[in-house]
Amino acid sequence: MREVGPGARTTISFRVNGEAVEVEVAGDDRLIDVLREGLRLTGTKEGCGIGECGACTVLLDGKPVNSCLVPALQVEGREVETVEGLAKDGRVHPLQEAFIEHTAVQCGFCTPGMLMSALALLRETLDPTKEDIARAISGNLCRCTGYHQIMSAIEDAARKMKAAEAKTSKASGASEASKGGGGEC
Amino acid sequence: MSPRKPGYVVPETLAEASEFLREHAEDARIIAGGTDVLVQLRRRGRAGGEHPRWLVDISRIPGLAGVSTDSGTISIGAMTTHEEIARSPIIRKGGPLLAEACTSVGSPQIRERGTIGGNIMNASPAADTIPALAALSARARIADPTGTRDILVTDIFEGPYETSAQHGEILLDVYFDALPPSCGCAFVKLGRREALAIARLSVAVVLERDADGRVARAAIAPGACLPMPARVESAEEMLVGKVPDEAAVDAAAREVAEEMVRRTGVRWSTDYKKPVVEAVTKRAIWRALGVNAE
Repeated sequence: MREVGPGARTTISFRVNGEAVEVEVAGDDRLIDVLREGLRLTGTKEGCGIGECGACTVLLDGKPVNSCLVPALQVEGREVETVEGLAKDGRVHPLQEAFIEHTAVQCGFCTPGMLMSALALLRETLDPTKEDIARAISGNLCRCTGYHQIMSAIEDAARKMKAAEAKTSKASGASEASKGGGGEC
Repeated sequence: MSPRKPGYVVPETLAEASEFLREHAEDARIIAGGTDVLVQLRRRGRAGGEHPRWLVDISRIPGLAGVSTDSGTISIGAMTTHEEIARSPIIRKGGPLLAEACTSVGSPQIRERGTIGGNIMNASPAADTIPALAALSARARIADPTGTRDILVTDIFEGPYETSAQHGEILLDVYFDALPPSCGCAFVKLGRREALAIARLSVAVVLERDADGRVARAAIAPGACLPMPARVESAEEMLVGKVPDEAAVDAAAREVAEEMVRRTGVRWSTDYKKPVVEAVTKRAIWRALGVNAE
């Protein structure tokens, strides 16, 4: 049984954006503390600290969670994805591109969380209805209230990603065409 | 002065967890998905209050999560998340009102982490799953190293945020009879907004009708408006044996509202709550009868 005494520290290992990391944590640290303080991944924002605003949303084993409500020790051996993992090879993710195009960013504080909730949705379907999108970001508050642009951006990103996917599967002999899902996202 | 920091233990077996909890009694608190405990720690820290000395993380104990079904009985492990329950084909078929209740919890992020065991043992009067479990007459199994006790879910509660669980006891699972196809059910919740709203009021209803359309069995369990989660038998009895018509449904809904006032006494909010409880109950009963009376 792992035991971290009050005030004591321990090392946990897990994967962040595909990379194995080891970080020293206190028993009562939260995932957001580990990300921001331990790993200096400050893209993830802390808003309310009580799971109501979604600014700290990251993916844990592919599922959207509030990183302010995840005890650090529960992350041992698991896979975490943050907004820093979205851009690949110097190119922003289609979701990020769409957010820029649709001016879905005002003050920007909710954006990383919005992107991660949207990412979880688009991995499930590239044909989301407006309702699906609204539900997917229902745990993310935008104090600037720019929801309309955010929803259009997510819709647009889905469309573009679907088109790109169709193109890729055509190019690769259409063998994977019936697979569906989110593909490389 | 910063509040004392809690320690953290991750038991790998039920026995380890149970022993640690018994040994540290008042100083230890179980943590599952963390969606209530971490919020409470933060609030307490800000208020300058004491933290528990230990958090006991039961998330690595094998066998505590998942939905299963065996000869008509559905059981749900305590560590099963709201999201898993909401999506479970077994629950959607055999207890769809519980799937609805789980869907109404918090937000997608909270539903991925929050567990049914945590929802029950946190014992919030506004817990979303409890009215649904009450209407399903769900039972719970609670274990300590010496054995397992079996208890009606509604009997676990001793007051708001208080359960009968002793130090060292851990909720294993809840179980109930799958609803037959002749049953209709509904869960209706009122919150201040759609997502992340704490229930101001909810009502769970299960109605079984015989071949003649008469109500053979009724269960009505309001949430967030009674001192303790419970069914309202006096209202259920007003439906049993009847082919439900408007008069019968109205009478049962009125009885639920009146019973709430009898159990809570008249409060400042009674003027608001009484007609609302009646209206929401009516809506839930009609929905359980297959009529959407929005």
